Amino acid sequence: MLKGVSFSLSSGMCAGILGANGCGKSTLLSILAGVQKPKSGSFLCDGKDLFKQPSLHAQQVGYVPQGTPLMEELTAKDNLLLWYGAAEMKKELDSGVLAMLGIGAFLKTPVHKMSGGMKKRLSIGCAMAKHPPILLLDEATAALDLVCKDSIAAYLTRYKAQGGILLLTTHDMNELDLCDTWYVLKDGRAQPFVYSGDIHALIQAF
Amino acid sequence: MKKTGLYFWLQLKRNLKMLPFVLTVAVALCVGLALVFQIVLAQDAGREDKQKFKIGVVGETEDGYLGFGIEALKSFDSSRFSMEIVEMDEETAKEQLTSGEIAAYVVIPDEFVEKAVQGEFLSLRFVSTSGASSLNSLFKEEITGVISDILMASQQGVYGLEQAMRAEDPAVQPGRTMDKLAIQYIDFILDRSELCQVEILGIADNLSMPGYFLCGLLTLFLFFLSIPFAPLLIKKDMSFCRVLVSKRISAVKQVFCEYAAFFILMFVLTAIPVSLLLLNGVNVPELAGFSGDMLPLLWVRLLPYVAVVSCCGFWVFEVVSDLISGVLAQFVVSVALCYMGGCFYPISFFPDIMQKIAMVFPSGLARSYLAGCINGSYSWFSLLGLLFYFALFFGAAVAVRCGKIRKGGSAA
Repeated sequence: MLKGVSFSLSSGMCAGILGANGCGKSTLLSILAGVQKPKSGSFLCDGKDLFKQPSLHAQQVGYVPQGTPLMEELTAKDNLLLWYGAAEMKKELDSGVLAMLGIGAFLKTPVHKMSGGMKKRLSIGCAMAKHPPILLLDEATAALDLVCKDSIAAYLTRYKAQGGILLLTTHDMNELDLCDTWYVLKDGRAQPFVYSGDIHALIQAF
Repeated sequence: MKKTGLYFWLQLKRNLKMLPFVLTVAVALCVGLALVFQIVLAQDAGREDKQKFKIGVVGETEDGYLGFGIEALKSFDSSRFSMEIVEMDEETAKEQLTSGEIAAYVVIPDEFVEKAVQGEFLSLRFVSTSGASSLNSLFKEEITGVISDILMASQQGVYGLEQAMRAEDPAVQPGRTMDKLAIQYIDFILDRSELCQVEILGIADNLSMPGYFLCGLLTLFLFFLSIPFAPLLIKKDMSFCRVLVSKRISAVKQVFCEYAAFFILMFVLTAIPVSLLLLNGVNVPELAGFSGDMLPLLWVRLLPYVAVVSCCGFWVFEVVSDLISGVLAQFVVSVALCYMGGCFYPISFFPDIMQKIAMVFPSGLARSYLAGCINGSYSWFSLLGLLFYFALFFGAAVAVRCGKIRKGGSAA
């Protein structure tokens, strides 16, 4: 499905992967997250191929796929426990990433009783355990209301400002503003695209 | 490793959250199946007189020795516990066979006695309906054997000797001597060790009827017990599994942790009612004298049994992806497997080929293994079979999980 996709990003950059439905955006993120294995290729981070170093890969990359990557029957706290130690979670809830995402407010709420926005913030909170320098977001704010989108965008802006690398797929025009560089996936290849707010040009590129 | 342990612990927690619902279903199942068990034991089919198959005997039975043979069949032979002999004409026999009042009839040829006197052999004719085909082989083999043993062998011997005595001395009056001889013949034949009753009652695995149904219903209970876990085990959204893989909790580890947590609950929910049932006395002859100190061994032996049935349930839930189809699939698979495995009816009621298939079905194997546990004939063959099925279901569940995680296209 994907052939010869190649790009590079520096610290503090956000790249948007765009394209029509079924063009391979989720597959690309899934490969970069280590879920699917590519037949060939490399994922270089500071000169190290993460595809060949699974432990390092797991530390360096945070991944938020589409859907709800949480255990629905359990509380936010239980879900976080899988990724954070108890002490680490307390610290992050007091003044770290979990505090920034406002997860403390619904820590004891079971996931199935949470709103879409809460679930998405919790998913990002889980992905941010151990502060990975690369964050992959697959349509992270799809189907969320404007307030939720805004709070998540605010957090992602801070993440970028702290030197994090963001790679996101989206169909949301507002989210495109977060990005510093854009790629359109077409026929299995990633083509650089300059987004200037012209939606017709973007559609043409698809 | 630490993450995998944590994942297992969280899975256990998820399962425990479902406990009130699962317990409610388990209690309802226990009550329902206990009622079925009681009904099976109490209903007419369980009574001795209703267990008997009625067999018609057609033909001339006026002859003293032949009548004596038939009377012996009715009153003395061990087959009297399983069949009832009724003398009738062939027309009545046909009518009653068609209406199902008799299971079969045997025709004694007109010249049977005459030929026997001459030392010749005339075959008895056995008539049954094609609908009773599953029983035919049993009947033909056993009942005709009984009848021919008592009627033919004894008659030929008695008449043959009478003829020889008369040839020696035409004035001889064998009378009481021949009667004694006939009784001796029949005594020998009645000593037969092959008891028709055992086979025709259809009880397999050397179990009494209560013992057999206890094993069958317990297996059915365990299959059904998976159903309330459906909301936990059916995955509509694979995104969480994908995140786990990205954090090095592979599909094998995921399936293992989820299955292990599910298995623990299934085991506890099976071991508790079984233990209570056995300790508080259930009317099963094989379990007479069961005491508390035998429980640990029973629990150990229950482990592979519960492991296989729960792994089968786990696999079914892994294959489906929505709740309703999952519950339906589990129900259908449970009923079908239990039916084929002989959990509803004694396995010997089925044709030979079905009996052989049932013995290698997971449900049949599980029921048979449990039977071995309670009747003291613990079978390593059954245990190996269960281990094979466990590996098969577990491997299949892992394969399905891998496929679902990777679903979304291949990459070049």
